[in-house]
Amino acid sequence: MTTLTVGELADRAQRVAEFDGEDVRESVEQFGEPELRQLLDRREMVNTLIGHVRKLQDDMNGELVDRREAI
Amino acid sequence: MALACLLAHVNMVFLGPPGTAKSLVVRRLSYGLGLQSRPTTIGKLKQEMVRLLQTTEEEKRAAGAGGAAAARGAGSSEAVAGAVEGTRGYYEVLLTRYSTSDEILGPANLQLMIRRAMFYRQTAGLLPEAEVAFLDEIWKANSAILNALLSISNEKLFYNAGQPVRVPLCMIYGASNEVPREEELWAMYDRFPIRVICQPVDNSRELLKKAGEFAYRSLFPTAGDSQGDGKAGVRRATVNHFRLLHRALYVVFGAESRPDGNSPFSRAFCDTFDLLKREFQISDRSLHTLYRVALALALLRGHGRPQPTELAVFKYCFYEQETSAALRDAVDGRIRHYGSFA
Repeated sequence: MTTLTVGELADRAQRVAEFDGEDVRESVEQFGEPELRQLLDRREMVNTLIGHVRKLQDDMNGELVDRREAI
Repeated sequence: MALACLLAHVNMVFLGPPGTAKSLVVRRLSYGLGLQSRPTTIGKLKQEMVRLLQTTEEEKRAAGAGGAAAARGAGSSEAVAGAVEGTRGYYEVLLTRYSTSDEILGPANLQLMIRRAMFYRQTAGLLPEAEVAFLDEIWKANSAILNALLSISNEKLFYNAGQPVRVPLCMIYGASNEVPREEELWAMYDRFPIRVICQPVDNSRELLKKAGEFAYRSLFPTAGDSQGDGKAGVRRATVNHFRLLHRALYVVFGAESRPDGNSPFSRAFCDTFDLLKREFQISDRSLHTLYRVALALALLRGHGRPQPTELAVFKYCFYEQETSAALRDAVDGRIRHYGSFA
């Protein structure tokens, strides 16, 4: 597995964050452990991704009654 | 739980009486992920189909009779699926005893069948090409569909023209009024280790208010109402974010992510599993999948390392609905027993 530089990794994660589609999906599939470790060292990147998910969670909780557990 | 399961790539089923928003949760999620856009109109769909038919005829004339036309036959069906809005990686079906494999897995390509005697399914816009799927009334599927679902849901493999094909599916959401009673369905039930019961709501005033808002926005939509299209300037979670976070599960928590059974959480998890499986019929297959959901919960809750509260995942793996309350009590007892990990 080729280890990417932090800059290359950030570019790739940015691409994932901005776009959707098959080419990006393949890019995600290629994230190996060393690359992920680098990504996780940049904790703000993971926090950003988690933030997107939490936003979705909040939106859904706001719209559906008593479905917090299911969501 | 629906979000944690998507992050962990673990199938989940909603159980509950009609009208308890089982389908709505999944549809709302698929809109939020941008996997579905607004429904098209009958007029627009007709226009698109006419255009596609004309295009196909022109292609046939240009290529002449023969293999090239057959190859384009498959391409045209993909164009049809692409033309129908709402098929961007989300697949939903209401299963009945009379549902056929063709409806869910795709019809056979007749050109290939006649010319090459090959049974190749045209899968565009259907389950084999979905990233997130919702199978309503899942236990009503017949055995042909269930058999195909076993490998798609578990190994993420679909056999087409005799070839195993890796499907892009993250997970399947199922819904049903109750747990399956028939023994032949237990293999499929076991592949949905997270079972969430949807009860009627207690707060009818709030329900009326939300339903009113929803109906109003359906009639008078504003720019921000179409979740699938996304608000300008507001980033939303996509399936790719979940794919990336899914991979992160395997490294983010160090020894807990690749458990050897000695790290505090993995030890507590295995001990709890051993204790509960004697009484509550939890299958060995569930051990690793439930562990992944527990890690996903920890990640979503922002925990630096998995905590005993993540053992709550065991509350959702009951076999019989009647035992769910006892299972919850037992799991709460285990969570209290462990307290918290430093």
